[in-house]
Amino acid sequence: MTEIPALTYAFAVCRGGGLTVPPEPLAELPGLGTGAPVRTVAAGPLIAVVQDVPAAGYGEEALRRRLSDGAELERCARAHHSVITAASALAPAVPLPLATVYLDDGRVREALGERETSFLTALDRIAGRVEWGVKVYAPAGPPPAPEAAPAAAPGDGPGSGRAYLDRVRTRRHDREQRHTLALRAAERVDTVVRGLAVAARRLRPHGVEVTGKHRTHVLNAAYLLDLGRERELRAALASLRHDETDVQIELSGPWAPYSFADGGVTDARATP
Amino acid sequence: MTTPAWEATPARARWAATPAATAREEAPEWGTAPAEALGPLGVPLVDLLDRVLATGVVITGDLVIAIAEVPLVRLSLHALLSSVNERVRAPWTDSGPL
Repeated sequence: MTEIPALTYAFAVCRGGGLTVPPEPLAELPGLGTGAPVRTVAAGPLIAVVQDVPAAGYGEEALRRRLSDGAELERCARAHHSVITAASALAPAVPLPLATVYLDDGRVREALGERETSFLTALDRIAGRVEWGVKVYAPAGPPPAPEAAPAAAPGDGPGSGRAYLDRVRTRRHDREQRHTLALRAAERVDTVVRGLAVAARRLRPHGVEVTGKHRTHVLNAAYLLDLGRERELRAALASLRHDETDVQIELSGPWAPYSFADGGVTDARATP
Repeated sequence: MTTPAWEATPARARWAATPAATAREEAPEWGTAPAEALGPLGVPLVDLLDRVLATGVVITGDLVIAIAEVPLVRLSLHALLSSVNERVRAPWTDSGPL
C-alpha cells in the first residue's frame, strides 16, 4: 500500500465522553470530500473531530489557492459547517475555524493538551445552548425630493441655486435622521435579545456588496441562548418587528455556537 | 420618521419587497428540533463565513496561521470583503449611503 502524505484537518472539539467511538453518524459524512472518513482523535478528556486530507491538496500553498477561489471557499465552508453541525447534534462541540490543519494526529493531541482548560471551559459554556444570529437593516435609498421637478423649471432665476442647496440639505438631514433612528432601533433590538441570552457578540455588519444598495446593515449580532428559549426569542422578535417598523429584523439559526467558542463576551445584563 | 414622500418612492417599494419584509411578519423557520435545525441547507454563505472565518481562534493549527490572514480571499472575493476584512469600517461608523 502506497502511503499518500496526509494532514489532519480538525473541525471541532468535544468532551471525550460526549461522543461514542466510533461516531457512526460522523463516519458517514463526506466531510471535505477527500474520501477519508470523518473520525475522532482522543486527547485526555477531549476529542477532536478530524479528517485526513491529502498534503498535496491541503498544504499551506494549496489551501491558500483553494480558499482564494470563491466556489471552492464556499464548498469548504459548507463542508466544514456540515461536520460541525453533525458533531453538535451528537454532543456539545466547540467549532474550530475553517482550515485548521495539523501535520498529524500527534500535533492535534498536543494542541488540545495545551488548551485543555480553555476547551473544557468553552464546552461548559456552550452545553445546552445554541447560537442565533440577529441582523437589522435600515432602508438605504434617500427619498427623492418631491420638489425636484418644479425647481428645475425654466425661469426660476437666481433662486434655483439656493433651492438646490436647500434640497440637498433637506435630503442629508432626512438621511441622517433615518440613520440615527435605525441605529437606535438596532440598539433596542440588541437590548431585548441580550435579555434572553447568556452571551452576546457583535459581528461586523455587511457592506453594500452583500446587502445591496437598497438597505444598510446596522446590526449583525450573535446571541448564545439556552436551548429552550427559541419560542421566547421568536416572540420577542415578532413584538420588535411590530414596534420597529423602520427597520427589518432577520433571524438566523440555530447555529452551532461558532461565535462563542473563544469565550464570547458574557453580558452582565443577561438573565441566567 | 419616514416621510410620505419616502413612502411613495421606488426605493421604498424595493425595500418593502425584500424577503426580509416577509421575515418581519414571521421569523424564517430553520427547523424546530435542534439536531436537524443546526444544519439548514442553504445557510446564507455570508452568514456562514462570518462564523467559520471571523470568529475567534481558540486553537492554533499548524497551518491555520497562514490561512487566518486570508488576504487572497479578500482580493478574489470582493463581495465578502465586509465579512473577512477586519479593517473595513462598519457602515454605520461613517457617512455611508444611508
